[in-house]
Amino acid sequence: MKRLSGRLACIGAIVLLSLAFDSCAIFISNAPRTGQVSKKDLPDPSENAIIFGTISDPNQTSLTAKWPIASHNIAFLQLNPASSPTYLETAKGMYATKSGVYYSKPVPAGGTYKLLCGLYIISGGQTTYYHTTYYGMMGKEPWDLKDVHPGLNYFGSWAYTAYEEGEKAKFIDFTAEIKLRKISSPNERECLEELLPQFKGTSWEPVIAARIEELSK
Amino acid sequence: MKNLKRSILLLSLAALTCVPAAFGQQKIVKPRANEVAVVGRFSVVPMPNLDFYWQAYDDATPRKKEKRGEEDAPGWLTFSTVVNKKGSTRESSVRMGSLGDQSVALIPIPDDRTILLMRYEVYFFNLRSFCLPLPLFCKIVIPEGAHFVYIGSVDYYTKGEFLDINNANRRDEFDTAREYVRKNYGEDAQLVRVNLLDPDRDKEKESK
Repeated sequence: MKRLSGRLACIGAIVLLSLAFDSCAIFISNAPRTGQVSKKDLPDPSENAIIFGTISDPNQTSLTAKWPIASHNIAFLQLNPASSPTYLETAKGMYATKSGVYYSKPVPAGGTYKLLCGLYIISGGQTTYYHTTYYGMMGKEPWDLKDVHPGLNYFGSWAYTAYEEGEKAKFIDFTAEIKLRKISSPNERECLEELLPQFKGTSWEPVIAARIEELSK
Repeated sequence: MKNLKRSILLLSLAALTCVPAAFGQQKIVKPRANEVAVVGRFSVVPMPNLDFYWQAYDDATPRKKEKRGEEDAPGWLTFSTVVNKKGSTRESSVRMGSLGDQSVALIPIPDDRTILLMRYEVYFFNLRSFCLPLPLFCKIVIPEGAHFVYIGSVDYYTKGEFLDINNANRRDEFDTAREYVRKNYGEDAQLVRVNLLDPDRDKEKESK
C-alpha cells in the first residue's frame, strides 16, 4: 500500500510538471490516453453530432494494432458563438480507439470544429522527441468541420507522416517534413466499425450500424 | 527515496507557481543605446469572442490552477534581420503588448538599420494552441538617432468563424502614440514615424 501511494505521488508530480509547461499536456506513456465515452445520459442523435475520423502517429505503430495508433494528444475547439462552447481534448471529450480512430462525445449540432493541435512522437535510439503541431485559430484546414449536422460527421483519416501515401517510404530523418497527410485506410466505414462497440446499447448504435450498411454497398 | 519524491513534488509545484508570473503584464523597459522601441497597435475586427472560447476551455477540464489573466490576448512580434556581411538572416520573436492595445517591442538595431516585420502572433489566454498569426511582411528602416519609431495602427478585418482575413488597413494614431511614449518613457522620448515598405522593392505599401 505504501509503495502504491509513493508511485502515485511520483506520477502526479510528473503530470503537474508537464501541465505547467504546455497547454496540451504531454502524458509520458507508450500508449496514448484513450479514454472512454460515458454511455450514461448520452445525448441522442436527433439533435446532436459525433465527430470522428483518424488522426494517427505512424511513428508509434504498435505491434498489435491493425493500423498506426492515435496521435497522443489532439484538441478541437468549437468556433461558432451561436452554438455550444465546446473544447474537445484527447481523453476528455475526444476518445481514441486502440487502433487510432478518434471520436467525440455527442455535441450539439450546428457547431464548427477546428483542430488546434496534434502531437507526434519520434523515438531515435535513446532520445524521444515530442512534437506538437499548432494549427492556430485562423483558416479552415481540410480536417476541420463546419456546421456539423445531427448524427455522424467524418473529418477524414489523417496521419503524421513525412511522405504522401503511395510515395516510396523514406527513412524518417529529422529534416523530412512531418505533417498531417491523408491516408486511405482506415476509411469511413472502418472507422465506424471501430466506433460501434463503444456505443452498444445506446441510441447511437442503430445510427452507426445504418451508416456502416450504407457504406458497405 | 522519500526525500527524493518530496523534492520532485515541491519542484513541480514551484514550477507551476512560476509560470503565471512569467506571462503577466508586459513591463515598461527603456530601450538601450543599441535598441529601438517599435510602437504600434494591432487589432482584429470584429474582436473574437474570448469569453466564449475561455468558457469552452475552462469547462472541458477542471483547471483549478489556471485562471484567466488580466491580459488575455498577449502578442509577439516576429521579425527578421540581416546578421552578417554575407546577408544571412535571423528570425526572432519579441513580446509586444496585447491585441488592441498600444504596444511596444524592443529590438536591437541591426547594422543596416533595416528590420523585416513578419507577423504579429497573438496567443489567447497565453496558450500556444489558441494562436492567431497576423501577417505583416513589411520592412522598416530606422532613422539615424531614433529610438522610438511609430509603425501605425493595423486593423485586420476578418470574416466568419475561421477568422479569414479579407482586408487590412493601417491608421495613423501618432498623437495618441506619442502621448503613450511620453507617459511611459519620459518627456524627452522622441517618437518618429516610419513607413511600412514592401520588402521586395523600395516602395511604400499603403495596405495589404
